[in-house]
Amino acid sequence: MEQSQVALPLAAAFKGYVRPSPISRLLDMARRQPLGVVATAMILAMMVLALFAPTLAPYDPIRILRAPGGMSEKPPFSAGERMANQPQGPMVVLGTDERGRDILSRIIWGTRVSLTVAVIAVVLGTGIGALVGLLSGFFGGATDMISQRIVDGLQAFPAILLALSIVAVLGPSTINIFMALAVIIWPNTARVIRSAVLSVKENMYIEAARAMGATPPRVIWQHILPNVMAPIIILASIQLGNAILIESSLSFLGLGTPPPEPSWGNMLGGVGTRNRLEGAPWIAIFPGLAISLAVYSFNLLGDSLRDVLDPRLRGR
Amino acid sequence: MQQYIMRRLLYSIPVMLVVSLLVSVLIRLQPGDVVMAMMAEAGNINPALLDKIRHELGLDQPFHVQYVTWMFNFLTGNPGQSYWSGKPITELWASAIPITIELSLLALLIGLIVAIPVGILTAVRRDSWVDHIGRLFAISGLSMPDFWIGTLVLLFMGLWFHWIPKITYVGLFDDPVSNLQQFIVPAVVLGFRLSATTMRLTRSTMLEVLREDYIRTAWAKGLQERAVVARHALKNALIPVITVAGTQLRFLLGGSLVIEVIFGLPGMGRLTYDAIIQRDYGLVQADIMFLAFLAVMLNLLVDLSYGWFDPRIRYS
Repeated sequence: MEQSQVALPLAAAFKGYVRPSPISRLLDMARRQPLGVVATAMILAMMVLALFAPTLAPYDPIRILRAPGGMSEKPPFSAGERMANQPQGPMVVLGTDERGRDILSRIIWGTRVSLTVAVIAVVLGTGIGALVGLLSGFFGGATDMISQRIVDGLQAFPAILLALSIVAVLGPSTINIFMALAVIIWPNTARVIRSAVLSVKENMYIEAARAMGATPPRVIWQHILPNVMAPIIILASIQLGNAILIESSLSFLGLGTPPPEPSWGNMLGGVGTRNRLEGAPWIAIFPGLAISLAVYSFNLLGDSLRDVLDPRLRGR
Repeated sequence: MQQYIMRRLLYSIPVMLVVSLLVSVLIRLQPGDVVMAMMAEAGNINPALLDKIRHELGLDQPFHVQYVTWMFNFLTGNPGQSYWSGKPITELWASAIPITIELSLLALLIGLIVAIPVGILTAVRRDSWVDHIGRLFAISGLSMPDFWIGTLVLLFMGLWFHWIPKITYVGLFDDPVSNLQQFIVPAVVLGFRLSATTMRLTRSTMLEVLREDYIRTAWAKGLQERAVVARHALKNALIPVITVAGTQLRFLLGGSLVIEVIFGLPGMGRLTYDAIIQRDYGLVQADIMFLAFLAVMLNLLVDLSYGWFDPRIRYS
């Protein structure tokens, strides 16, 4: 009797309720986080550029374009390459650099370098940092003390200096750059994850799990990790931007991606380039713009994710 | 309070140990030999000379002996000599450190002068056009690589104002006007990024403080906006900002490297960069150690000042 007295009106209240489809949920999220959508769109565009670089780039990025009178330092929107008995090449949209290579093509190919380096370095760094943070936060004691000292020790170094030294010692190859970046990234992640773990540990369900006989690995994997995923994801997206910045700084200083492979940083770098800039400012403007846009979109994404996943951290 | 200070001091010691170990290990990770690398740079490898130099530099000792000897020397004020030029490192530091200090302090000053008022303004006028412009400024400061901003500033100062950075450094006390002219542009560039982070933080802490009950009381009492903000909100909002400004000093140490290289200022960053390029490992080791120790000291100072500002920390 009571049941039907409650159930019928309730059912009536919920009549017509249709579970929102994934599309409408997506649209709803888009409306609430417009900047996040913009950021995701920009990142997807970069991924497309990186994946389809050979098709999308008008010229080969390391080839010096030829034309009567040379093609170095041609301004944007100049005519393309012109070789004997060949039709005119596609327009050089962003100009050519001091050696005569097409800047647009180099920027497109540079997307590959930046994204690959950033993603691999951040995956490595976040993985190590999360592992250290989880173990350190969960077990405490000696593990915690030792790892925290190491984390503090590493964080004492100014980041660029550390990266520079590692790459200088080991040699400027792409693998060494990943490693240098991962070394910079993991301490901060470890710290953040550790404090997240410490606060999650206080919860009743952890105690309940232990009481039921769950082993530490199970508790960590089943109960703690899902609840610290939010800071991991937010941190990772911001570190992606950071990684691009540091990689381009290294390339700028000559210790990053070895030329002639185009990286946005080494397109700007070198004293030789700098001396020629006054006649051809576009050489400096566009690669830097690419870096800024890339970093900006990752920062935006991180901000949006933060708003969605953890409003308490808002505004940092 | 004294206990707090002692605890923090004691804590720093293992951190510095870790730092020194990391640096020593890093330098010795060099594939091949330090001396060989140097000779290869110079152009000729003379085997007999190799052994002699190794012995001279004490590189034929086992690692722990080298480490202890070097640490002892370093801590007693004898960081050794530059392998490249033979000059004692203390002499090199004596000329380089004041430059970096001046640059960093100027950058910090400029950054804070811009960031704090803008942060306050954007918090108080939330969601107005002032807010949007301020936040745009902050985000661009975070996304734009400092070497790009530096290069562009250099480029356009040259193009529009025919300004070139001076080759020779002029001391502050020798010729203040000329010195400031030399430093102001790099300091602004360095301070730009600093001001972006600080502005965001000021804005968020100000927003939080403005939500507090005692602020609402102040409004209810009928106080003018200026009184509410300046007398009640500001002090509390600034505490985290001051601590963050302290940690930003560490960023300045690293950021100064790139700026010093671009603008040709012979400070510590430039010294370290040149040493790294020239494979001058004696100098590199000493420089990195010094900068890392400095960073640990600064962190310590910041932690201590945090305890001083916020009485709750002192008695925990």
